Amino acid sequence: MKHNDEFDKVLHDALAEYREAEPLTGLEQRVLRRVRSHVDRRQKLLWRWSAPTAAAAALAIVVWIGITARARHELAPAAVAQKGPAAAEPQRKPPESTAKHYAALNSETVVKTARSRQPHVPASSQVVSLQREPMREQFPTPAPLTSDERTLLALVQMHPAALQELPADDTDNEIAIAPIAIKPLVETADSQGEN
Amino acid sequence: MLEGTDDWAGLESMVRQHSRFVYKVAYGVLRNPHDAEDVVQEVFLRVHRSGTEGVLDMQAWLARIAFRLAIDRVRKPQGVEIEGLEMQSGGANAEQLAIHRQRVDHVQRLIAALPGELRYPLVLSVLEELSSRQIAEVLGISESSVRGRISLARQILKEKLSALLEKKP
Repeated sequence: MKHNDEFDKVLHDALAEYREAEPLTGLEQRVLRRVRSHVDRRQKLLWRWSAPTAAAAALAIVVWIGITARARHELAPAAVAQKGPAAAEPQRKPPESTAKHYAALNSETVVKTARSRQPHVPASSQVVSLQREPMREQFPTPAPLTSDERTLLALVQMHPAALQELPADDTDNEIAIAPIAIKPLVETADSQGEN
Repeated sequence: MLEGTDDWAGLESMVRQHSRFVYKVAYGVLRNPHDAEDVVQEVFLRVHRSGTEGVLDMQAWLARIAFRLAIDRVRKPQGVEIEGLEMQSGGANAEQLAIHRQRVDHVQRLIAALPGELRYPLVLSVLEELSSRQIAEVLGISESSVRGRISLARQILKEKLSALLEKKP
């Protein structure tokens, strides 16, 4: 029993090394300082890498925009051609024979645009015709007058007063709609009897 | 509670509250003040990085981190040459204190010579901050295993000390 007590005391004292182990003064400050320095170092590293990364990203965006703009510029004539011949080749000079032909047409007094008289043509066929037809001198290209238009023009030149007698175009006038009046239902004696 | 890396005040409070306890856990494994302090710093660096979200038992969690980091630092077991030790026999009362001191040193060496699976439960059991349940959590074993290993460690130490004392005239 005495031997056991003596052993327990020795063991207790031996384990005191672990139980009473104390760090050097200022452990908390040293720990916090190390964590702080680690955070600072990591932030510096982050900044060091973020600047080149941002620059590279900006450069990539600029290059991408440049490529996109260039591709759009190259595709533009074809896209415009689908919209109509007027915008496709505005700067090209027409061949002389064609210019003469249209000059003859222009000698006539034509006020209305040719586009309104042209029949509807699908876009694909317009592209094809654009590629074949040369540049015209005047846009929209005037078309030859129809026989009705020639007759009307001749009439106006001969009798200018007749123009005044023509009925006014009232398509711009507002359409007057009478207010809708719904009469109340009147229950008749027959309908009541049915119910 | 401390979450992520921005809660500096929370980390500071935790360091002030638990750093000495963490130090004791690390020292129990390493028995070297400088290595133990390095482990403490590493523990709180990891806490700062990972945060404490989802941690239920802070002490057990910190002890587990410290224990594992300390184990990683242990390159090889610190063997102790027990045969070379000499015990003085009891004599005059003036010498009793010196004899006791010598026996304590001897048992400390015996403890250091124990295999880890017996030494760590024994060393952690002397820390008042840790219950047997928490020690079991730190070591990753059952609570009954912790008690059994502590008992076995004490038994081995007692036998070795008795054998050494009996060798003396």
